Amino acid sequence: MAEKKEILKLSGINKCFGNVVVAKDISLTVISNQLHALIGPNGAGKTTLIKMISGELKPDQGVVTLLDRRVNHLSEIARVHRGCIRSFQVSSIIGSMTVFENILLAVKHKRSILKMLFRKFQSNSSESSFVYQTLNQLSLETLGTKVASTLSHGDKRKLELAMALAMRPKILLLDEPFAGLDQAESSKLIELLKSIKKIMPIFLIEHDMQAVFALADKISVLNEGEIIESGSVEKIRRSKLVQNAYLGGDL
Amino acid sequence: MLTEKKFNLIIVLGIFAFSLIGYVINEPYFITLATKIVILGIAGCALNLILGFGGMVSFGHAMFFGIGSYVAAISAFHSMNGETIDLIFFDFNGSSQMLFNWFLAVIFSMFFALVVGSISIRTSGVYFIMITLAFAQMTYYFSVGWTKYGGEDGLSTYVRNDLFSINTMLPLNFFIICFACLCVVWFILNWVINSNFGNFLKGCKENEEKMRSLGLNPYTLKLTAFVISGAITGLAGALYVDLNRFVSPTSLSWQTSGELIVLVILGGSARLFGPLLGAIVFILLEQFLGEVTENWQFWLGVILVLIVLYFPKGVSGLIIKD
Repeated sequence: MAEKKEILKLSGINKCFGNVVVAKDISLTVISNQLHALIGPNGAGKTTLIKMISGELKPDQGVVTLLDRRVNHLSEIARVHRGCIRSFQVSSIIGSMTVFENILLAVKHKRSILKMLFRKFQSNSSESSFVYQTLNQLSLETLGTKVASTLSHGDKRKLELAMALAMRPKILLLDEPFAGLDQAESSKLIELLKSIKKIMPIFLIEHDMQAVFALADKISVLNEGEIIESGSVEKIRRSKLVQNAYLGGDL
Repeated sequence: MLTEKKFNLIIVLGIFAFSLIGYVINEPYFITLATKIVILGIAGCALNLILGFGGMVSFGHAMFFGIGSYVAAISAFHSMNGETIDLIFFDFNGSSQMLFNWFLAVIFSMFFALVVGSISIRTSGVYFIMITLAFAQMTYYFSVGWTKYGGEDGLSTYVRNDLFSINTMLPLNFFIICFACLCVVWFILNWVINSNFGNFLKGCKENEEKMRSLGLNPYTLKLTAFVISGAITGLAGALYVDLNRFVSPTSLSWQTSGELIVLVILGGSARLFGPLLGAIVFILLEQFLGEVTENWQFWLGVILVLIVLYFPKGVSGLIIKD
């Protein structure tokens, strides 16, 4: 069996906005080939935490470690170059470009300004086949030439995920990828994420409990900026603490 | 409806034909009009790089146009009167060579675009508009008070600069020089827009946060575009000095910045060469409406309002198929 490696580690993360505490001594670890889900009620501080991991926000205290290196000092962009790739709560794609071009942007992201200026925006054969491979993976292969803004909500979510995958992440941070998807689309995405988590670790923030329970290897529950429980799906299902704090009833 | 390539070709050939007609019927004024269209078109297309493709509404682009004009004019002025400029390491005697003066104009405009852009691009929306306007007004008032170079009255250079052994005083020759510059600028801007850089820039216009999540720095992308745009606008300014053999603070004024934006809106910001069509429409309106009424700018305003309301893609949007 492959050795489990710590990909992302948060130790003692604290963050306040004025008098409001949004993260209180948060510690968690995401290991290789694991999907670690973070759940919690609205306003619990989930998106703030993902922003601190991605580098958009800096924690007031605590250490963010990515692939055994402390990354607190690194910008969001530098963390992306280290393989920490995120998706957004609201579909974040380039609407005026085609689906293919959106993914090509993600493929070509590691370029210097000079290389960007002197190279045409076109794919060579290896880039093309990689883009099509990613499109196939997300069942978007028939939509390559479609302008992204004309896609359905579900396909936009898939395109965003495809862009993240095309960047060959070391860890994938997903912020509510199931938001607004219907039952059929959710089921497809669950199957897809099941296959992706075999290849790369995923840190998932999600409200859809059916999806979380189907996918997660480990769940942490955040409430008012504090992790109140962490463990396997069964442990979280049975936790009275979680039931009271999160739903006020059975999960 | 035309494809964008055909549209570009027709516009460029149309301008060339217009100046040739002026030559054939011995009407140099036509050639001067065509030259003015080409020069303003170059400046408009340069502005369109950041406005249409980068989403940065610069209300201070006259600054680069004026800086290019003043740099070229000052160099030509010193070459003409033999008075040297004492620089720290050497004395500069000025130059009457077009190529050299263009080079100076581009370098100075680039430098100012780098300084102004590095500060302005930290802001966006209305703040970006105001900060670029503020910088442009600073250079405007500086030029008004710069009495050594004419102050409010401006600076005359009397003769056109030289380019190889071409007689640049002949209107058609000077038109061809400007036309060649337009072709080079078209090649550069077309390359930039179709490069990886150009597409990331378009991405920045739509979604900066996404670009950051792709590991790209929108600030660097936008600043690079701003500097390229400033440099090309500076070149247009240098050509404008040679056309008029005169420069005044008006070239740095907010009205000039506004006119450049008008070219982009009239022609259409979604197309690279839209502002060139904008320059044609603007100059023709100025000429022909100007003959009919003194208040031609009022009617220009009416036309602008109609275009913004009903043809947001500008006149080029009516001609080019998507």
